[in-house]
Amino acid sequence: MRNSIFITIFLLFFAILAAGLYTNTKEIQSPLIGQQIPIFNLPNLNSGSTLTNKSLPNEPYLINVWASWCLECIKEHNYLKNIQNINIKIIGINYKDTRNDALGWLGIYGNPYQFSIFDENGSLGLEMGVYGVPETFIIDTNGVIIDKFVGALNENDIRTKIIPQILDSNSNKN
Amino acid sequence: MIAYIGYFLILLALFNISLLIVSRPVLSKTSLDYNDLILSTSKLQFPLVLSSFICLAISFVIDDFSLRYISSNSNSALPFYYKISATWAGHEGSMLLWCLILSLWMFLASVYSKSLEPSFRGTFLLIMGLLNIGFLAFLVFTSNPFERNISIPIDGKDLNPLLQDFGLIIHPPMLYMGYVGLSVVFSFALTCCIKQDFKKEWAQWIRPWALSSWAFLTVGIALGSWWAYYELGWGGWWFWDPVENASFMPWLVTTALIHSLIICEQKSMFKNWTILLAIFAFALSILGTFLVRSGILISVHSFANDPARGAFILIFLAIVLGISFYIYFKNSSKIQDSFSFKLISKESFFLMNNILLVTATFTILLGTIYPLVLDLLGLEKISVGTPYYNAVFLPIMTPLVLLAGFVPIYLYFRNQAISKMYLYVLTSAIVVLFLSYMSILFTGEFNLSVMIGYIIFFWIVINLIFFTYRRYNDSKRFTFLSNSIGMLLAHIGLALFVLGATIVENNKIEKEMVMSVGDSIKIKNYNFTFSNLEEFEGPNYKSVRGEFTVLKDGDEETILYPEKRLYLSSEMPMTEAGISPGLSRDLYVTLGNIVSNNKWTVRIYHKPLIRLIWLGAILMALGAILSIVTKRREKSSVGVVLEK
Amino acid sequence: MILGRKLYPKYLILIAIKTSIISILLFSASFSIADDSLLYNKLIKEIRCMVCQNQNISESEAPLAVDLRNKVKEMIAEGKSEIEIKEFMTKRYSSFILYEPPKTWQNLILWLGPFVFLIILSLFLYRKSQSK
Repeated sequence: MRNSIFITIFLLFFAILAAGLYTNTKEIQSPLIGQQIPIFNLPNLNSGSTLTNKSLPNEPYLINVWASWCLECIKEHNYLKNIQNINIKIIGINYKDTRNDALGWLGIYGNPYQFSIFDENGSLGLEMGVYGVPETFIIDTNGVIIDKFVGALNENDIRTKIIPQILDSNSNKN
Repeated sequence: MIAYIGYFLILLALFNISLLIVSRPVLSKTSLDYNDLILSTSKLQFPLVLSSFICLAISFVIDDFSLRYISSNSNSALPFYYKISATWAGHEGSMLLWCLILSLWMFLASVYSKSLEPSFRGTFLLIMGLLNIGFLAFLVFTSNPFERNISIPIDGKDLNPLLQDFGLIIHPPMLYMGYVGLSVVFSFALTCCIKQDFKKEWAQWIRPWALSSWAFLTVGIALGSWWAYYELGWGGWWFWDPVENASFMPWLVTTALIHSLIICEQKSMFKNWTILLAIFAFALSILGTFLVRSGILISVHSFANDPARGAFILIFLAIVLGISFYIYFKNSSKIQDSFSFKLISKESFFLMNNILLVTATFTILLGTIYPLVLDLLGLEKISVGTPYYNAVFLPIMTPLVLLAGFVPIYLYFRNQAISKMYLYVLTSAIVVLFLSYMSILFTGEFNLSVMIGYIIFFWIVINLIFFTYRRYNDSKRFTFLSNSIGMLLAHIGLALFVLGATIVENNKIEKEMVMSVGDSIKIKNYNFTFSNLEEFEGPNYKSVRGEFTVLKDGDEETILYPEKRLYLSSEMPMTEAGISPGLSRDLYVTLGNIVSNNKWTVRIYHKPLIRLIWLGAILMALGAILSIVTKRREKSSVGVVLEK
Repeated sequence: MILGRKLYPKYLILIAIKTSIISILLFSASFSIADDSLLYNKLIKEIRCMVCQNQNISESEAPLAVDLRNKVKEMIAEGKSEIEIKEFMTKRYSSFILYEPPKTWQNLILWLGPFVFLIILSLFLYRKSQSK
């Protein structure tokens, strides 16, 4: 009896360590999932006109946090353009950037965004728990965050997670 | 060329030590003695690994960038002494250092073990040899420092600027001396298990090894803490980082071990318990290696991670621990042991010490592993840091340090009338409370944590002084000191450490502000003026250096030069703090970021008594060394008496 | 004399129990903080810099760490309490951002484990010492 308890603890301990070795320990689930988009009042990157929560689409869409100083953002940029091409709306949050740099960057790499919210001092980013640009949020019809990705998106994320969730949310509405 | 020789030598070392396994069946058919082979093999191992290590160091000095390890950890502009220390700055080289130190301990163990019975000695050294095989195989198969680059780069990537520092030259060797020294204790304990005996002389024999490993660990950990304090630029001395925890756990268990060995030796008790502690101490030092080198936990100090390395160490640990436990559970009941004592006795107090230390170790292990478990179960991710350890670890340690002040008193009074001790403890407690309260009144506002710090400090110091004074009075000679000077010193070190840690954590002043040249700020009775800012170039970096003139009550106290460096080859920015060290306080200034033209974020810290933390650690290590030395002398003087 | 001998084990055990209870109370009751800068210095050491390797926001010059430090400063100036500030952080960044794990059922073993371990180990060893 005592032996078997001991052996169980021993094996469990090594199983935990072994499993930990091959698991990605970096992923953190956002507590914002299931929450509304925080209230904001910030300028549009292009026009400078004021944007508020009312400016956001009434259908499922993506919010992508980006910056011209962010190297990872370039990696996912083509994927974003592909998503836009299949009629999924993407709203950009230009995070802690200067207007000139940001517009120049969009000029070079193209603009997949409906519009970009200009979050110069990162206040909206802080409200949305942004810590590693680029970040992508999936928003459903009711304006609720249903999923979040940290770091550059890859094809797999888009195919298996983003598109299905958007479609799902769309069909729920209809 | 030299690198080839180095590689050849390390392979030769692995081959040499592997002979231990291969030759066993062969030798049994001849007249040659297997134990002799073990002895010669373990003595040969050290020069082999040492030469290989020297080859790597020479390759560093001559900038042999054909080696991948050197091209990623050195640069031709790196100063000479850092080229040498870069030998053990990365994963592969530090593993070679680990193997070097392991073979050094094995060498020492084979030289100084003549007093042990031949068969015991043989088994003991064989176990050390087997450990040696494991680590050398790890080095050669997963972490070869002599691996070649496919194309030879013109220059190296440079040593991580954080590691270009004196503290980092000596910190790893010290720490590894401690970690690996535990392998001696472990092999010894396992041999006792196999031989189903743990004689008093054996306990005497192993004690200096345990004490010296412990002393090295203490110094190693203290050096790491000191380095983090002045090099990382935010003035902390302990972070509860997984890597620090990895070194702290074996330290705690070894502390328990050196106490339980005393009971083993004096009373022939706690033998099984001591063996178990020895197994755990070394297992925790391998576990530490795993945690640091597998990348399993998020830490500031971790090496580049590679699951293959992690898997190797984990399997190795499972084998070592599995076999040890198997042998232990099979044989421990056959060892002549006793575990019965009165509730109030020396044994009981030493066991309390052990229980508290083991619990403390368990706490740290739990705090380190628990987030990982939650992660695997897909539950909410958490961070375990200082607030947790303050709430859980400190309450466990408080009775332990109070015990350190009480046990000497108990030992002094135990053969006398009980009322005497009763009276003494009461008097002492009142004096301690009074002194603590007075100290608080003189140093600032009342604060309970600080009060406890003072109480612990005075409780230990006053009781030890009383103990020394009475012992001296009884015989009017200092002979008793040969037995207890080490203990006294180490425990005074502990008291100083507790005092320093409590005071600095509760009474430190930390200011963070934006300053430009000409600005002043007053902290306590010190006036800091940002008097100048200049740029200059170091051997492999560019630097902006601030100048802060510090006045104390209007008189010039010191000038501090915090720097912001940019290392050229790695483009890594580094903060160099300007520190004015002092026994009563440190003044600590760092330059943060430039805010706008000539405006800098500046941090100015006042850290009272922080030096006591490291002074305490040094005294503890010194105490351990003194108890090794004094024990020896006592033994030889007994020898002299007997000869007469 | 006889009285003393009888009293003394009890007396010792009492001391041991009292000191441990007092110390547990003292340490677990985290001291209240009157001064704003003290609260600031305490909080920035308990909030994790999410982008860094295991560092708190006082130890890092990463942009996020600077932002969060400013946010803490701002919230203290607004008169927000320690609990409110911590709640603000965890609502956006999850409990991972605090170095103090939440005292929830999920973390029961973490918080109580060491004390349970202490009791079990003591009982086990002391019972063993009396059995022979």
